Amino acid sequence: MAEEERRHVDAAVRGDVESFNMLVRAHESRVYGVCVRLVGDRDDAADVAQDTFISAFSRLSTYRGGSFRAWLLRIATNAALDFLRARRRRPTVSIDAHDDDPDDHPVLQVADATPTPEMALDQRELAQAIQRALAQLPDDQRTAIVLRDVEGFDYAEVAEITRASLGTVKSRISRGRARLRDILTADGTVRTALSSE
Amino acid sequence: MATLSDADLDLLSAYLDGMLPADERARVEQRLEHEPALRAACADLRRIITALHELPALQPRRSLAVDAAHPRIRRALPWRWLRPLQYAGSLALVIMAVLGVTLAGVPANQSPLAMNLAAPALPAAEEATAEGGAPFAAAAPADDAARSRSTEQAPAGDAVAGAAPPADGSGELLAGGAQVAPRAADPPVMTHLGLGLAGLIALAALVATTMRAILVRSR
Repeated sequence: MAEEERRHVDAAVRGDVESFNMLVRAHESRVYGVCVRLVGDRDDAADVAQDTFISAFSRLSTYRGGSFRAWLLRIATNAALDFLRARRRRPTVSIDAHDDDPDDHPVLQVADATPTPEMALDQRELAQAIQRALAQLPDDQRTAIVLRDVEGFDYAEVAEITRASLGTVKSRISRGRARLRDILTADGTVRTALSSE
Repeated sequence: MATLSDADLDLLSAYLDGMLPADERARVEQRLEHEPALRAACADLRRIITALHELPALQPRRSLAVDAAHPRIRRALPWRWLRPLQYAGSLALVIMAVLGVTLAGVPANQSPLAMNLAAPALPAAEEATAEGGAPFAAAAPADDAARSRSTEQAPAGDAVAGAAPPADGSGELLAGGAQVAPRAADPPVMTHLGLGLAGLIALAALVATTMRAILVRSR
């Protein structure tokens, strides 16, 4: 952990909210990104991410060193999965309902800033398809795939965040990818988009 | 699309992540050359991983910074127990100010300090009353007179003299003074106690505020 981050953590443990907010600013993008990919809706994800940081501040005394980012993301993934479990117990609106207006839902947009209109359409469709496919994965596989393939954590970090063994993480990632392949290749448009890369 | 075994999918996944040792990696590459189904699956997985990796980083539309006023944050603050003390200290300061103004009009010989110092003479005075045989009922009507005589015996500002036996050695005067003293001293003593308590709370609040400032600034 960087020295500056350690200082902020120490100050936050003593109750310095402003120092904690420095940590929030350093990690909010990643925490929010994971929440969006797991929850599938930006507004809900913002609420879950906010709850993550509040919970993290409340539990700072339980932080025992190591990767602060991993500790934070463990709280975030647990919060997101708790949210999903709660949402499944009540009626909800699918994220597919928003597909007609992707500008309002940048979760479905892609990174390339200068694509041709055709490419933009393809990439947007691909991103939409990926998000839909992610939503169909079991929670543990989706979490592992988001952490590994979307956020770029290595296996050991994924294991630390999800509190699973390395073998379990490898298995979840492998099964998750295979299932994504089944889902995405069943969609002809997506297969074309994937093949054109 | 040919179906691969879980073992092959695990192998491909590990291969694409560069998690295989050199010899195993070489074996997989050899199989990829000769097995079209494995090669196709590997290509699909590679594209999917690339597509996942290229999903845009997302920025929250609003700040996720926590608010110090949020109830859960306030409950989590390590010095949360200091805050009630600070409120109590503020209240104590107000009480001290009110009492201070009230006491400004009290004559010096009736000040809480003078009355408190007079209090230790009470047991001796009661003893003297018993020995002198002066009935309590008889002493009571003399309250006002005794108080004024006692006041004359105790010059203003001389608290010790006020507590000492009368100069003329009169046991009756002593007894009268002793009977009068508790009723005359009660309100100022209470005031004094209140003042002391308020001062104590204010001091604790000052310590609490200082501790909080140190906690916040010591990084």
